[in-house]
Amino acid sequence: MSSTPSIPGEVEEYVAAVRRALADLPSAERDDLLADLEASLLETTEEGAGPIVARLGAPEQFAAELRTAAGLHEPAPPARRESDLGRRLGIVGDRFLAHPAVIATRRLGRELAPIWWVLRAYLAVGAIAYAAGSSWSLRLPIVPRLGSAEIGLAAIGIAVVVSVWLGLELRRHGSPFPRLAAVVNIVLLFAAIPIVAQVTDTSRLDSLAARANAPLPLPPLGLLYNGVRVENIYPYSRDGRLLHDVLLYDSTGRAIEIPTHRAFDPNRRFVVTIGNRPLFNVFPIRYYEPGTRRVARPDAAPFVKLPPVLTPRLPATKKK
Amino acid sequence: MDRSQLLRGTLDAATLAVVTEQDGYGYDVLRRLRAAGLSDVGDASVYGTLRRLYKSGALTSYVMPSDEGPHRRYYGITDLGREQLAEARVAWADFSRAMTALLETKVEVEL
Repeated sequence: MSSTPSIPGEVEEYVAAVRRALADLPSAERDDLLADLEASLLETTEEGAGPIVARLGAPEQFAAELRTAAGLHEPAPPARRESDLGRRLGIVGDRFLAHPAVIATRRLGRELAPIWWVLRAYLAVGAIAYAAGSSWSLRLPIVPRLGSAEIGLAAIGIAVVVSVWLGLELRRHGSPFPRLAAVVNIVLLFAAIPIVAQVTDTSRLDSLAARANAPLPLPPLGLLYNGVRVENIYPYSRDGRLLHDVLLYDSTGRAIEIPTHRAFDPNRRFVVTIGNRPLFNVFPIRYYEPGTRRVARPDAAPFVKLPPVLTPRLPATKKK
Repeated sequence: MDRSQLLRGTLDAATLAVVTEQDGYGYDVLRRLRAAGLSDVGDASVYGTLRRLYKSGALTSYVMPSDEGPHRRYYGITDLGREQLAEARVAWADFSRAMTALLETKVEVEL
């Protein structure tokens, strides 16, 4: 018997194949089984000629026999039932996949896949930003601030390039880890939920911020006093008489008109010019009794206590 | 009876018998079984059987350093293994007697 301290490649390969076939066993169990195996196979090869597979059969077959003899086929039934179910599901799946509509959808999906590649790149960056607790740009609510919005935007750009490249590469050569790829895609799809929430939240915040920073909206039309619209004006003379039909103008000569909520009240008493043009800057505004041309209480006014006036009178001026 | 079960039952007794004579490692046991006439016994079956008998307590095991190649795991019989072997001997004697009788009768009928 020749001395062979190292394990020939053939035995090593064979043992590795058997190991793969026993992959479902607990690792300690498998290691024990295989530790003996190497030594024994080594002697097998030393004693006879010809390839090991010719003498021992396929490694899978060997593994099955080993498993049975070692009484390790017991844990197999659940696995077999599972694979049985898997096979049945597989048949259903194949039938489903063979349906023309499904084929058409898949073809469409394949054509539209680049959209997903771009989207998933964004989602990946978003997920990282979300996980890192980054804030999102207020100017561009869809861009996470990775340090700054510019870096976030750059990261998205790079991610898109990488994702598309990866997509094309995998399409060309097939994925070495199809399951991993599927899991990553699904995780990214789910990552969309918090990211969309974040984006919506940020854009809401954005609109709030925009409102806060926007110039004040134009005040409502009409005459305001301390921000409250004036509905009517009651001028009094210095000696306490309520004046009627006083025309008001501002410093630029604009007639001060008050669009009141009763502006189109048919009972409003309009003071009209000789040319029959109504004047809107005449105060106090009075209203007729409905259906008549009579102002019921021409002296109606808010209750005000007029203070006695000391300052001497100015001489009255008449417009020429 | 399932053929593999039958084989396993017989192989257990055969393996125990071989190891009772003298402790042995996997390939050694296999060689001795073949030398005894069980020429078509499978390698994997013997290795698996050794492992199972060891785990059930019928065999003990120890590792012997080897000058050539990897260390060898030797198997020896335990008291439990001896008991099992004794039972197997009785069972096999009964079984073979019955089978022999049956098969001889059948031969007579066919003749």
